[in-house]
Amino acid sequence: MKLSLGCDQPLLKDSQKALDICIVIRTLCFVGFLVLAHNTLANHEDDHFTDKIYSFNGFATFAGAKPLTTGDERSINDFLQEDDEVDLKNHNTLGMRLTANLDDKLTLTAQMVSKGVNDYDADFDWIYAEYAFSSQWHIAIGRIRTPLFMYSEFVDVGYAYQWVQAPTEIYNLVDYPFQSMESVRLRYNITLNGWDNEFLAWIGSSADPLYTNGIDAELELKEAWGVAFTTSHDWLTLRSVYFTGLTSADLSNIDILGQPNHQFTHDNGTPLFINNEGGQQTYFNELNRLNRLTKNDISKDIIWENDRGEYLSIGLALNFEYIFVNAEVTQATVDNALIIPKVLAGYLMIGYQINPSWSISYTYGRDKNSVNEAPWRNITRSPTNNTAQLAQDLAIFEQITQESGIYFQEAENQSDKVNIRFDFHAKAAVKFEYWQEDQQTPSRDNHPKGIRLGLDLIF
Amino acid sequence: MSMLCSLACADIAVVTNLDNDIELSLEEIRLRFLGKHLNKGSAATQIKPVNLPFGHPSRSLFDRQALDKSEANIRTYWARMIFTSRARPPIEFEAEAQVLQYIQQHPKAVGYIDTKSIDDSVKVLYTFPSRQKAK
Repeated sequence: MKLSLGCDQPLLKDSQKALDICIVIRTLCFVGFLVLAHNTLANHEDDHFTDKIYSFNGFATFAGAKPLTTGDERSINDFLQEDDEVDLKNHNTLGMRLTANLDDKLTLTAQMVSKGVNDYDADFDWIYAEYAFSSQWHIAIGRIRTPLFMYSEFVDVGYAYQWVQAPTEIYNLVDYPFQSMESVRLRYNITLNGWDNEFLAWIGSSADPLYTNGIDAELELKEAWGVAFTTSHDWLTLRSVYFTGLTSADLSNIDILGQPNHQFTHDNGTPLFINNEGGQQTYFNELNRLNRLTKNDISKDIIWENDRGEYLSIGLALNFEYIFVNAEVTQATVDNALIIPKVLAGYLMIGYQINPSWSISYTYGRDKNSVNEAPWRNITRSPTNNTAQLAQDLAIFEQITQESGIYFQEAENQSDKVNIRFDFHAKAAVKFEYWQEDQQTPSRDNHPKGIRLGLDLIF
Repeated sequence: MSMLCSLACADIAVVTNLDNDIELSLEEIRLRFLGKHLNKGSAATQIKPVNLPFGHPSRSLFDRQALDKSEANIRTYWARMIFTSRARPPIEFEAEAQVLQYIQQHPKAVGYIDTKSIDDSVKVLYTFPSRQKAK
């Protein structure tokens, strides 16, 4: 939920000066939020946390990243970075969280985050009210971080974990769809025989930008619901999540070829793509022609509308005196969505706490993207029995979809990561990260590597 | 005191106000100091836990023996709790003398101090010998 101060107006968009003014106004709003939070605290601070009306906390990360490989051996996860330059911006994060206890039962929470990767635009990614029916049952309504992954709810708080960049197999540097959703969330806590249990159930919806495979569209999520269960006892924590919803994306405005001058033609010379603006229309014309020709409705399989997405995840954490282990495995699928692959991803981190200040860890990550079967490949005959024409049309269609990027490529990645964390202060830590990846797609086999160094603070 | 204990290590005691008649299990102390959910009816919901800062010898002993967590564990634990609005950490004082003073002034306060610092102004609920797990 971005602060809307007119910066997105087309009139202003054309003017760099106006944009600069907008950024200054946003920054002032952000600072205003800080000052307000500080003043409210100063006026209401009591001698004990349970009596506080307001509480205010913040976090910050300042990090530098440098790829050790260049050119074709660049990581697809470092796409924001200029070649082998040192990047001092994209991992920087500042967040502030204000919680107001209106009474014993009702709490209001707002969290603002400003990230270098988003040009420091201030976003409210949490704004919600929570009501406690009892000490066990809580209901929350508002914009809430979707707890898909073990670290989802605090992944912006670098201080709270071991890495500079959480494993890219699961955690993105850029915001991803459904990261936060307008939701209603029920939380139930119970302690049984020394086991601390938390059960979350939520429903919600969202409409977020979707950046994948070079495509820029809006992804809509409806009728979404999910459950997450976490249990911990002594050194063991286990977590499992299920999440589902109907996904739709309007692809009618995408740049289908990404190459304005590229033209396909039918045998009779009719251009498939007249120009970039007309390309999308031609795509759908072609789709309709294929539907008519085959008396199939493959549109429903190709057009991304109300396709069910499902997400499953299990997580494990072990915290011994000196050894710590973290592992997550996730699987995400969207029925019939050619643009989105089936993703199976996970990581295993093993760490050693040398002393209260120093720790070292190794993380192995892996993900596998497999494509959904293209529905037109199952079409073998046309009602007109003109098999030659059908084969030709199917081939053209295959070509269009593949070259357009609507059709996802298979990919497989593996990664290794070594981290050293130094807690030099009760509220600050320095982290070093060396990473290397093995990225394989049908068209590339890359082995990028790099280093990152970060400073994390909480206040 | 444990035979294994050198002069450098000490025992700690969980203490409360003299007027506080509460009876707490070790599990209730653990849950309350970690800000975790306490089951309905637990007397521990009424207490005000009081902490010492990281690096204080008694804090290190308490975290390890009563909470069964290392200092590094506790640090990231609280960062996660605060920024998910699950719980807030107990109030913290720099020195044991301040903890004692606070407990004397607040009937519901529960803290921990080195057994050597105990005087008759507070009531001892538990004593943890060093190098021996409370559980």
